Amino acid sequence: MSEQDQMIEQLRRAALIADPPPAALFASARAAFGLSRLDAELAALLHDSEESAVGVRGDGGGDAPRLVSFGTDDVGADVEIMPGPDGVALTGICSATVVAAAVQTPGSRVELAVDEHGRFRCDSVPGPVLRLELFTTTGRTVVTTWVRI
Amino acid sequence: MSHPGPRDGDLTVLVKSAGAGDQDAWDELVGRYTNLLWSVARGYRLEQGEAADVVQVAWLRLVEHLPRVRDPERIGGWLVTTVRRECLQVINARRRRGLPVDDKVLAAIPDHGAPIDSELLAREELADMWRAFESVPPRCQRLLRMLMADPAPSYQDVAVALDMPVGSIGPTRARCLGHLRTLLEPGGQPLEAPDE
Repeated sequence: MSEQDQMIEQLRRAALIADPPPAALFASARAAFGLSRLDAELAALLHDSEESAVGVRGDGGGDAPRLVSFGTDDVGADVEIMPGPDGVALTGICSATVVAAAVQTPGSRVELAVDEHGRFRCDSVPGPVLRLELFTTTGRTVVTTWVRI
Repeated sequence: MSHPGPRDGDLTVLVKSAGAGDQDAWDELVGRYTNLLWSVARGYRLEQGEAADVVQVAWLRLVEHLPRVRDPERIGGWLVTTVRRECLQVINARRRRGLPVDDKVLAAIPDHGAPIDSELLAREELADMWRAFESVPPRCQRLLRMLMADPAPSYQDVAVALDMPVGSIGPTRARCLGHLRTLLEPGGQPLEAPDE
């Protein structure tokens, strides 16, 4: 083993003692597999104000709500995410064909009422990640990709 | 300790088995890459909680992505790219909130997530090594954090995560270890003071 390899090996041993990944991270990564939704269509993240603002120094931008859009070819949702005391609050509007929705985190799921204009809201989502489920008039289920909040 | 690299040839089998619903195969993937992903996130100086969140979102996204994986051998690159993108988003959000993000400023912030605990780091040699590691320039920290992951990553995955050519990893590694060696010498000082 070269001297450089020995240094890397020492660093590896030091890192495993000084800064190992938390055990809970392995547990949540394994549990992620149980959240597979092969029954549903996946709605991609089409827009995220947090990403589009990359490199821009905010003029009070830190207080502006985050806006994210998800969509398949014909079903989607626009969501405003605001920091709240216990996680975040959501306000959104979805395609006219959506009749019901739910917001899911790895450890929770809350059904959301969708009004006749496609609007929905949820006052408290715990995080740190969430996705939406959208149910259409024709019985399709769409889930959005996970986003970190 | 053996370090079965991600290029052992059975990655394709693992990814396909996981895609077919095999939890054991998934767990094996988690065991292989979580250390590396953690190293990437911590290399970007994310706090422990933030680092855990970005790694978790990468695994959740891979669950979604499994049915569409075309090249299973590149799954490591896909994961580190996802983590890197999320890290940059965290850093960008900090910037918008007016929090410091400059590399040198970040390097000057004490990293509470990695305490030098004399009991934990029973071997003084390792403690010295870690202290020296925390004093090398941030770019070196990012590279070395990845290279020290267990199991060791492929240079391909490192190149993707750090957005650098594969060919420059070896020379950069040598230069960064040179920094480290200087710091480990008696009276060694950082070559690039973090608060300059």
